[in-house]
Amino acid sequence: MATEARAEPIRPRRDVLQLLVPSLGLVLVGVVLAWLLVNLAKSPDAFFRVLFIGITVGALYALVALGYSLVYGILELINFAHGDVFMLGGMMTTAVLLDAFGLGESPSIGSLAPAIVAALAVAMVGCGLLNATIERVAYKPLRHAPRLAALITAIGMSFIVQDIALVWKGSQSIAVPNVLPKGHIFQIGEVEYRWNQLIVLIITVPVLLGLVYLVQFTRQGKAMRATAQDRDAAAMMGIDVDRTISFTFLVAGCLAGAAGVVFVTYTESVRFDTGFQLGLIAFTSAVLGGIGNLPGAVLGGLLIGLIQAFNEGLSWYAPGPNWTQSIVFTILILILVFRPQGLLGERTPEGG
Amino acid sequence: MSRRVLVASLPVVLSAAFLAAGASGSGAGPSAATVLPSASCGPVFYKGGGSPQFLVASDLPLQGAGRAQPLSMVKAIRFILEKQYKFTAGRYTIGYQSCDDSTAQQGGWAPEKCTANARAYANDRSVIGVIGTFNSGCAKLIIPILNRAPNGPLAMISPANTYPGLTHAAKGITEPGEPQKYYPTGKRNYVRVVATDDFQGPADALLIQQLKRKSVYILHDNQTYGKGVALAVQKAAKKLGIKALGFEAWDAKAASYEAVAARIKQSGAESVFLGGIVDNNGAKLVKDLRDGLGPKVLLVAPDGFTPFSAVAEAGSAAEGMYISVAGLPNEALGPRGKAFINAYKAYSRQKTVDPYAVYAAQAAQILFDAIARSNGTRPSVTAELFKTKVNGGILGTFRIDRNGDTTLKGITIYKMTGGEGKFDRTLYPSESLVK
Repeated sequence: MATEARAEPIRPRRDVLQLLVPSLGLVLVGVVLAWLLVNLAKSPDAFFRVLFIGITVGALYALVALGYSLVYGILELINFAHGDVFMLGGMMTTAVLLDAFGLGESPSIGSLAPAIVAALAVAMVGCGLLNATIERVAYKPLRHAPRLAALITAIGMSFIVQDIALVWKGSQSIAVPNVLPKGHIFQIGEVEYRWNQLIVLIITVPVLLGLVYLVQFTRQGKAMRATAQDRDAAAMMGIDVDRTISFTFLVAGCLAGAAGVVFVTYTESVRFDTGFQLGLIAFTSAVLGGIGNLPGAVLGGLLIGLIQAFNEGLSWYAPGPNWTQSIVFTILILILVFRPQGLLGERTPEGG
Repeated sequence: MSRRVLVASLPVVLSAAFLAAGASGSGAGPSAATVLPSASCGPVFYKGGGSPQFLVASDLPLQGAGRAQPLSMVKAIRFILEKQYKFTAGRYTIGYQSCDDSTAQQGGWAPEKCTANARAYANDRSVIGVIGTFNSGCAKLIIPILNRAPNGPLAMISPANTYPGLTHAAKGITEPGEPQKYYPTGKRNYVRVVATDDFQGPADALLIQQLKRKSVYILHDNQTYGKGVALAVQKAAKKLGIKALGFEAWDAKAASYEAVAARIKQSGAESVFLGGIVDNNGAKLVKDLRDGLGPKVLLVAPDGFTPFSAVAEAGSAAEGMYISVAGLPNEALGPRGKAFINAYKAYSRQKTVDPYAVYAAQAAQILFDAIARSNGTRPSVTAELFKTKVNGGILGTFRIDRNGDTTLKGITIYKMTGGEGKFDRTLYPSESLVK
């Protein structure tokens, strides 16, 4: 009531704001674009090198962000354990690559390809089942409890998964040798595009296409979209809501597993707390793009990857690595203040 | 569950210690030592008759990527106490407890453990001296608590801390108020047997000059030690005419340092200095830098990048990297030092001896000798520590100055070759470079 009463006198100021905010936003975007252009002109080599790094890291963020968005879209729950499930996927990958296949530095393609496929299978299935189990054990009993209970449970699950990894692999970061072919795929001037950057796209792009197909063109996807839109109505139409939610967690877990494989082959190391910061950034990506919105999660992930890379990698008036986190989160705050629904709008998986 | 019980019992144990110590009266010390809490400390190591009169504790990070080093230091202290001192220092019998200032979650030293340990030492009156710490950031927290200890100040000797501000001010490196702020009683209670980073930094800069590189890009991990040594390199580089092209922190939790490498590449830097500890994602940083910068750019790191095995996790990227260690290499030790190394190898069944084990042994000897000369009170041991003069000891001939620093200032450079650190050279930076 009180807010309605106060809203009246503010209305004229709001019109000014409505004009001011987009124009200020445009100016800001213009400044950033100009800054990028100057950097491009000054050192095109460096610009493209950094661009590739940004796209690669961004694709990785996007893959993790999708898991947050999928679950939020259907359950309106921020699954904080998602980042840690992703980390466990990375651990499973190290187990497959190092312990089962015994890969060393630069193995032959003949032994590398089956190892990567096996790692993908183990991590995706393992993380999918784990995520579905977490839902069954921790979230399902709280389906009708206040939202806060599920949120706290999610944070708790995050710690539990972390501690599982801590007991399994210890607190040291696990170094993985560079298993991908050495050298670069193509080179423009001094800019190299490396195998470890390509593998991110080789895995991420098909997984994304598969996800779009699943959500848009299958019966199960239809059920997911229906459940997301209106759980009760979906149930009345004969959709098994619990099964659909379980399935969504399974899919999100598979994405986390794939991200784990990508992460380990790209960064060549994983630690029990890797999932925390990366999960936070991925969640930020999801919010930036519009939580629940699958293309939004991908856009948000790519944007954050690019912002980080440009900030750390460019040299002309780039604030540098000391400021990376501050810049990422300042942008998030600005977006949330002026466009709370995120860049592409808050939505459910139906938009995927 | 068991951890909760332990934590819950901590205050009980501490107050019991307090009561026991109080009951036995002050001055000559308690007749039987009160054991430090098992939440962070191992069992008492003592094989003499009855129970020991005093306890010496070591405070080291026993978990994390670099734990091989502290573990070998613990063995060295046990060796000195058991084989050389036979659990006695002069008139007093001594037991030893090894305490852990790290947590598994942190993968290294944890501030809350440092302060909790320090309180336990201060309040257990049978503790007569502390050997530690490994990390300067942890020492910052422990020194003032031991300084204000009941019947104190309680003596502390570090075999590894290199941050200058703990003992003396160094222009451009230490913070305002250092070192006085660590000694609230005004009396000093902390000494160390390693050279400090206001020497290590210039030595690293000197190395960069000797290897004919004209510029350096400085990265640090934003911790007390890492930033301190990075500042020292920056300061000395300027004096040597080496251009410092950047001074930035690396994020220990970042997924990739490729963009940072791209930035350094654009700067055209001919060398990169990594001020920090290897536990802070150091191996990954080395990998990304080597990948992004190519083989010609020199990588130099301080003693935070030991043990070499942790750096070797970067694989071929670590090859050719230079790592400095404050102190002398085992090869350069005198007869007493060589004798120690041989005896310790047999005792610990280790093939190679970590240089830090040698420094821990020297620190233990100095502390036990100070206890032997003392009248059995904490202030007396502390005072004796500052009167230390070592003649032909494990590390050679040196003394402890009034700040608590050693007069040995050699810095040894190792080069990563075949996954191991190979002795490269020992540098003695001149006074004018350090000042």
